[in-house]
Amino acid sequence: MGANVRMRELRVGQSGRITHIGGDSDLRESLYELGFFADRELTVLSRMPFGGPDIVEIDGACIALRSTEAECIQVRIV
Amino acid sequence: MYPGANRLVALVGPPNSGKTTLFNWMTGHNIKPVNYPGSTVEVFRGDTLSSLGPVFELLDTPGVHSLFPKSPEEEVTLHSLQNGFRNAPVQAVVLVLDATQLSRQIHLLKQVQDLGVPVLVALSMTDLLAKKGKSIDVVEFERVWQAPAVLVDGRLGGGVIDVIKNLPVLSEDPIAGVRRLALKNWTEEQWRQFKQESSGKLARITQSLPSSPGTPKRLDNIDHNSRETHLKGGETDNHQEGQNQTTSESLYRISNENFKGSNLSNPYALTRVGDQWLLSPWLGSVFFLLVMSFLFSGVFYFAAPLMDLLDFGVSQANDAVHVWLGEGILGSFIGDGLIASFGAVIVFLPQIFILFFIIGALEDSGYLARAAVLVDKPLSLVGLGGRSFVPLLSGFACAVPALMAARTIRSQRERWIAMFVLPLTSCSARLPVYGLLLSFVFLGEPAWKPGVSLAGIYMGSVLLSAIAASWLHRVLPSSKGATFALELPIYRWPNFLSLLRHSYFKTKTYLVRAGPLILLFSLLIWVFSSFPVTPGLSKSENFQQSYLAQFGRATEFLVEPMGLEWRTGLALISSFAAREVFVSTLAMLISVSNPNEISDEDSFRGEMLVRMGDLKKQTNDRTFSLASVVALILFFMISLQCLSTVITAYKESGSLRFALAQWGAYTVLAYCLAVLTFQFLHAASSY
Repeated sequence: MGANVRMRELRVGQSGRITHIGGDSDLRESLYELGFFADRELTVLSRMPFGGPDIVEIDGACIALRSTEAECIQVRIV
Repeated sequence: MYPGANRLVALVGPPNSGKTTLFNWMTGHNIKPVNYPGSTVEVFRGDTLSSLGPVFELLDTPGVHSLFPKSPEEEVTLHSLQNGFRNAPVQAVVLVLDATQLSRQIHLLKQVQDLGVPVLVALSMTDLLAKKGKSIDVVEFERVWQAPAVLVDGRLGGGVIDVIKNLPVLSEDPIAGVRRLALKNWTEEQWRQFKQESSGKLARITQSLPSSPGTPKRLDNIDHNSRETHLKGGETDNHQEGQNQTTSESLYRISNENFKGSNLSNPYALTRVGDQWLLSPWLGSVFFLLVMSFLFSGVFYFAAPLMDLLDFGVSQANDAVHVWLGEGILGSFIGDGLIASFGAVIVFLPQIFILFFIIGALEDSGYLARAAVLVDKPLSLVGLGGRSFVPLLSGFACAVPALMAARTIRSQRERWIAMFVLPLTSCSARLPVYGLLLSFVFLGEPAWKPGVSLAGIYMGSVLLSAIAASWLHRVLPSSKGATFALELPIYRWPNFLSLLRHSYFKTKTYLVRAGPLILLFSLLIWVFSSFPVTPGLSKSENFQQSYLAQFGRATEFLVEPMGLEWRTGLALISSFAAREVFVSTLAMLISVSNPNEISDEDSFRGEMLVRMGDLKKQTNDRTFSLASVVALILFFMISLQCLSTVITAYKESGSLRFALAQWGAYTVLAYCLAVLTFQFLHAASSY
């Protein structure tokens, strides 16, 4: 069982299981709609330089998230 | 009454779910962009092919992740379900879901069902599912989700007939009809409640499903506490959840036990490999710059032969008219008026077509979404973001569809900044002007010189947009952290035929919009430059004392400080209808004023350049001197001379003040800078 961290702290190529999604209700809802839920596993595929978006894979889909959105996702490293 | 009347069916689905492909199959590509074409930003409608069965009127709505809109574009989808289209209510919904992404998309079905609109599920991307070694059990799907479903194959058109076959049953459901009518009268409170209930369900439904095929499923150590925290008050319907949990596992069947996921014919593996390169921070940026250079140089390179051909045609037509109709009034109106006006503009159609084509190809291939990710950070420094990238890029083709594409921007603040700076991007209507001015300045010099200058103009327009955006970013009150969250589609080969069709529609719209203005101005200019007729005067002498000439001389003081004389001034004033009218008006005015000049040039543009040279001599190297050309180009880079853009900005912003402030600001700024530039360069060149 890995440590509980924010998604931004995962390294590229590392996977995590979502434990919690924070942020305001609009932001949470848009993350739900894209398939970000507790217990889902995600993998960080790439990270743009200078604090640009993260590309994560979840359920076979690639999704780009800004740091503000990525900050709201708590994961447990797997 | 047309065949599909009162049988209105809406196609709804998440972005990239294959909605538009299904739409094309069902209508046989026989689509009519409603209002203005701009991929699926505006609703497309079409009648289904009669060869497939009963005819329905089909609406292709913008892609949505849920029925709760996050952007003005997504509002269109909900709006069409709520109010129908042109007073006809939506009878049924065909919900297109990506079969490989069901776990992430199925909540949309629940929302449409809860809305009470009869729904048929079209499961698309079944070919991709097969490539993952999986298939879907439709009977089981229908049982679990209580909705009729069909499998469709976007590439071969399989299942399209089944969609049509199942539609009549849906649209004749009377109970659903009553609910549909009630939708229109839902109160704000009802919507709020619907939304609240639905987002509770969204979490439950999605969680009860297994992950998508291909992802190893782990049911151990589910953290119930964390699930409760984010559900936040949504009461749990244990019965329903339990039911879904037991049955949904059988949704996917493994059709090929020996399947290996890692060969390159698999689009997912290909996408993964592609993204390793194209989305890597540094290589990706280099590739991005290469693609953008290809885009803009390609526009000129590929268009050149076609433009020469059109130019030749225009000049032949003009000559032929003069031979047939002589130098009388009719001949001069048709030849020097109409053909010269339209000719000056239609030679640029190939460039516009190719620009739309390449942008469309990049979008359909899936690359534009990656490009948006790459530029998100730089754009966020000036208050924009990745979602502004496609509107801004489209702005290089035409500001009107670009303003409409800005509807996809979710943050209101970002959208206003994007809409405000959009007219600064170098749209294709400026090309005829830049093309003419640059070929005049570099007459007889190597071709790379105007090319490099044009590249400079484009870079300049990017820089100007960035300056304007960062200024707005500083003065506008800041808003809460803007969201980006963009789903990246898999890489696909663009469909060549539908690309051609879209580029054709857009180019046609460009011509249809500019056409009447060009016609009107040609007519006005011809009338006012021919009257009053004084007997005994030659054609050019008559022009010199016409109403138009009087008006031109009266307004000359306005354009004189930027190095122009009254004829170019008139052309500039007329260009406020649309930028390219500058070229057509100028073509008319300088050929009327020097009618006796017979040039040896066999091309239409060549003749025009000779006449511009004459004008330069007449004004003692003032008008069309390097200083005045630079000032004029600067004016065109900034000024918002386009009625359609002003009207679209008003409609899209919903604020007349926005549209007028934008127009006023750019016009005043352009004028001041052009005057300063001319005065400075002119003084400098005299020493």
